[in-house]
Amino acid sequence: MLARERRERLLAEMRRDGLEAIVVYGTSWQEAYLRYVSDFGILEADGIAILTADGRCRLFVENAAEAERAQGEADGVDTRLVRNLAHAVGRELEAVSNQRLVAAPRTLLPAWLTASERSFRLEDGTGLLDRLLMEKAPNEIAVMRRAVALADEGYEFFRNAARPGRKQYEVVADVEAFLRRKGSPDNFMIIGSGNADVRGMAPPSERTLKPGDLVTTELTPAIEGYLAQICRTLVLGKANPVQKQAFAIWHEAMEAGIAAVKPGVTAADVARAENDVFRRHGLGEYTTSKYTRVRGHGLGLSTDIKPSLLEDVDIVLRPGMTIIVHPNTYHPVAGYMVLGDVVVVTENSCERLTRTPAQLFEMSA
Amino acid sequence: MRRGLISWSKAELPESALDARVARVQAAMGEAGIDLLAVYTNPARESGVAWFTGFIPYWNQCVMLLPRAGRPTLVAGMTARVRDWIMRNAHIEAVANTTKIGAETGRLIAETAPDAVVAIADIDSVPGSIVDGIRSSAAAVVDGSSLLERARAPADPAELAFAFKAASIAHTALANATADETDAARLVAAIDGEARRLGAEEVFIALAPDLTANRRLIRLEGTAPLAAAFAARTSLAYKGTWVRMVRTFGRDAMLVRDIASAVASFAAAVASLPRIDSLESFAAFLIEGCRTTTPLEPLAGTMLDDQHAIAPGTVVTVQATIETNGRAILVGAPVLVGRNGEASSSLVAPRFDDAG
Repeated sequence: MLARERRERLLAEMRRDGLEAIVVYGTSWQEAYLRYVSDFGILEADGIAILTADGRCRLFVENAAEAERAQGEADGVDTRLVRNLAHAVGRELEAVSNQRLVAAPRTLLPAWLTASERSFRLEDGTGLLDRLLMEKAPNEIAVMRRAVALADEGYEFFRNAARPGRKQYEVVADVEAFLRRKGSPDNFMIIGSGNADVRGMAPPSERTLKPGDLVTTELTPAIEGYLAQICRTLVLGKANPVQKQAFAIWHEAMEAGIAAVKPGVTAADVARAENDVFRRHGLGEYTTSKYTRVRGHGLGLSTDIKPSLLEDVDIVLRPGMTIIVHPNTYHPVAGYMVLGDVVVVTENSCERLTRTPAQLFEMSA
Repeated sequence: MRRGLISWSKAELPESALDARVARVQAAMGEAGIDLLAVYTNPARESGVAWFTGFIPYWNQCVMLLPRAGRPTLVAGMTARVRDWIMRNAHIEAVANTTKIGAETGRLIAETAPDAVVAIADIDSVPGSIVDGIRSSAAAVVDGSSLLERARAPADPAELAFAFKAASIAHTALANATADETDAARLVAAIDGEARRLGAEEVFIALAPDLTANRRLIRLEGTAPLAAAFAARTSLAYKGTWVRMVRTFGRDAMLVRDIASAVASFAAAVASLPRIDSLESFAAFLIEGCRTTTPLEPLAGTMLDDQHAIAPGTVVTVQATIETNGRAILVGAPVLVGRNGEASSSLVAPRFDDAG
């Protein structure tokens, strides 16, 4: 039902803009556009869907397992396994080359499709899709609430799985199995463990968790393709005064960011509210790209949709956006710390969806 | 996006093995008059850059630039905060972190090798923004796919070791599930968790929860009851090397015997690879392998109109639907394709305790 709602919403936009077709590209780290249009969650190789104004959706994939999955998972979509994605899609577009066509995200399309010698021209339709991905309909927000609740459960499980003597990848394996038992087919997760030597989170390694470690994670389970994230830090043992003082700054920054979220403000306003806290505490250097990527970001059909919360992003927040506010960065004494809650922008302010306490957890070592 | 074990082990993948691969390709570049080879990577196209450098992107995209002499350079879409992580996990000369990969790649070419002839592996699949960046600085751009494909076959000992390890993980993970299981989510959890605990970089589980109703393997959302005959496919990577294994589960004794018979037929059929005539007697089959940068590319099968060459000495994954006593049995395993007249054989036989 959600997939049909999304497609109808997009078709209405296409009619308004006089578009004959929208071409969307997807791969496992940029899956949102393809999922929005075709409801297929791509895992392997690349896929491109063409949605035409008459409501017909054709999905082209290069991987045989993906073709089989799409035929069973993507309702109302005509799936084709092709050898050369660009050429197969190009042949379809030649039939409508005199019409207005757009693509999203155009920069990731295979070069052959955007070459000037093609008979068709693909305008950039990324902005249209980005707006639909960001500003969610009520039914989408309802699924996001379920995903956030699962992220809360997932973090509770993680807290107990992260024990001294275990390797990072073993802990993540346990969390993944927990999420599969809950029926969630997908998750994004990175982890860090250690102290001041740890500059960030990464995929799990063989590093063994030790008493005294700060253990950070970003855990992002999916329900019906919608991903919700939680960021938390725990200490294996009792937190020392430096860790507690540092965490208090992270907490203050997250709360300042969430307090700034309301319709009409920009992503930059929220990032600035977070970063100002660090600057007040003499830690402004640690809000730069040398230490941190973003101060939060949109969530939905991908783990990282727009808007990125950065001081140079002028996207205006609107009702229906779901965002994680996370002032994750490095502390020069304590090490890398993370804290992030999901909010949904409401008509007047925002509602916090995350239920896990925003605290530095102390786990028995 | 990857969340399993990602780490470059120099014991498993020595620098000398990577250097030998680079040297092999550089020699071919010299013969072909190519100054730079550009190889694109993202989590779905990891197999090219991982083969050269050991590097696996857990998200985002990168371009590797290989000159005719010296080590490769990586242009990565991740910010500078993960620079140290990349350098620890990749055998490269340097990394440039940028959000404008195409432009930065073009700038590097202009700075280090103006007037270069640049070959791009799998050029038809590389994003236009990146190809445009390379074209802006190169004297000429050509397709580097066949050059890379020739250099990759046959698989070297390090690649074979990863394939054997991946196959072993897939088999152990599938063996962690039993035909008695009645809940699909619990079955998936048992397989997925075990594979990751054994060190899989990534795991995708697909199920046919009721083989008598539908033999299509899909990823389930939520859960479903498992019928008396069901099948599971594990697709997983170990350090950049992907395999698939398929197991059919049956609760009654006759089905268990039929599964054992199908597994034996499968073993006999794959022995004749790269010839595929024995597989053509099955209801359906599929052969996948990595030729250049994409893992598990379809090479031959009933779903395909044409066939790519199956190179002796490489690892392919074979899946088959075998009809026995009117029932569909799904079987699949990675296979080492024989060389010089030797028979091909499964890296790990797709045989399980309760299935003969």
